[in-house]
Amino acid sequence: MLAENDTFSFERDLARQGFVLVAGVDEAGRGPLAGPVVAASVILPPDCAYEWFKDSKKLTPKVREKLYGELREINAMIGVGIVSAAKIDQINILQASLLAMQRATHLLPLRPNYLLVDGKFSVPITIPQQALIKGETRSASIAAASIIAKVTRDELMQKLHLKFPVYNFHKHKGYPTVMHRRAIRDHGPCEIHRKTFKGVREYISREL
Amino acid sequence: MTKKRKSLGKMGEDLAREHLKKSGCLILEQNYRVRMGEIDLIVEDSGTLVFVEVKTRCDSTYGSPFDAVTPGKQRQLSKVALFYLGRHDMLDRPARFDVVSVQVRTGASPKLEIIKNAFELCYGI
Repeated sequence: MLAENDTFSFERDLARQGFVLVAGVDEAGRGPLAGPVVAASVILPPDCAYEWFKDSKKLTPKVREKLYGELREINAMIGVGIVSAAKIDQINILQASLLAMQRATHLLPLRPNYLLVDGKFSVPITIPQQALIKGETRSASIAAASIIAKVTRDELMQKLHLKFPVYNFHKHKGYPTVMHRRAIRDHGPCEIHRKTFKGVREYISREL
Repeated sequence: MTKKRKSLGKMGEDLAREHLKKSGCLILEQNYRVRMGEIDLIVEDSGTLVFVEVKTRCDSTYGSPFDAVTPGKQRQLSKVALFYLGRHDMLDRPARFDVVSVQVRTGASPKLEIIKNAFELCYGI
């Protein structure tokens, strides 16, 4: 029972094997029709209150933001990788997600010895790693990465709302809600829409 | 794999390579082999990286060579391609998968067919 709920057991086991710097890696924004994909790589301090960091999807935006502040306060090492909608169209979303994860990991202040990666991803980088399905619920480091990625992306979408107000990006963050689909239908896509995605590409005029 | 089949495959790869070279591609790798698998040819076609699977058949073989790239094979090729892109710091470059079918015919010159974008980068463990 205890082992099931212990979200720091992977990290602890790895430390025992000599992998002292273990980074959790996760990404946000693979599904939206607009905006970037954002990935984060996080190394938690070994003595932190790891049980705070839980699946970002199960936290309210307010709690997420609080934990985001907390992660900065406890000096967790953080790397963030961002890949734009234009780049996503040029390469494809899978490659873009992996690129964001690679960038995030490269941007950590120290190179980790091991990665715990959410999902079934393997980050194209020469660092030993393990993919954990539902990683956000099994590793506090991945959960922390998911919080950083989600909050960073949400903030970006809020800023992008000011630039492209007709779409209400601050509300749906680019996800395919009814409101968002209606706005695309009525106003056509803007420069941060993913032109290769179903739901956007149908509205691109032929002349472009 | 018998020696004969292996040399048939090698011949097909060489033919495909020469064809791609002539059509303006830059050849980056032939038989790129790593722990998780192998890619027959890696070329650059006007800025796009192309991972090429070559399927060689002689006229006695049945079935379309294109059918031979199974979903499992696609996943494996994707893995190797991602490894290559990561290793060479080229994840930000557009990439695609082509399949080249080489049909070796007795008494006639070999027939080459290329399917561009034969499948998408896919994922799975």
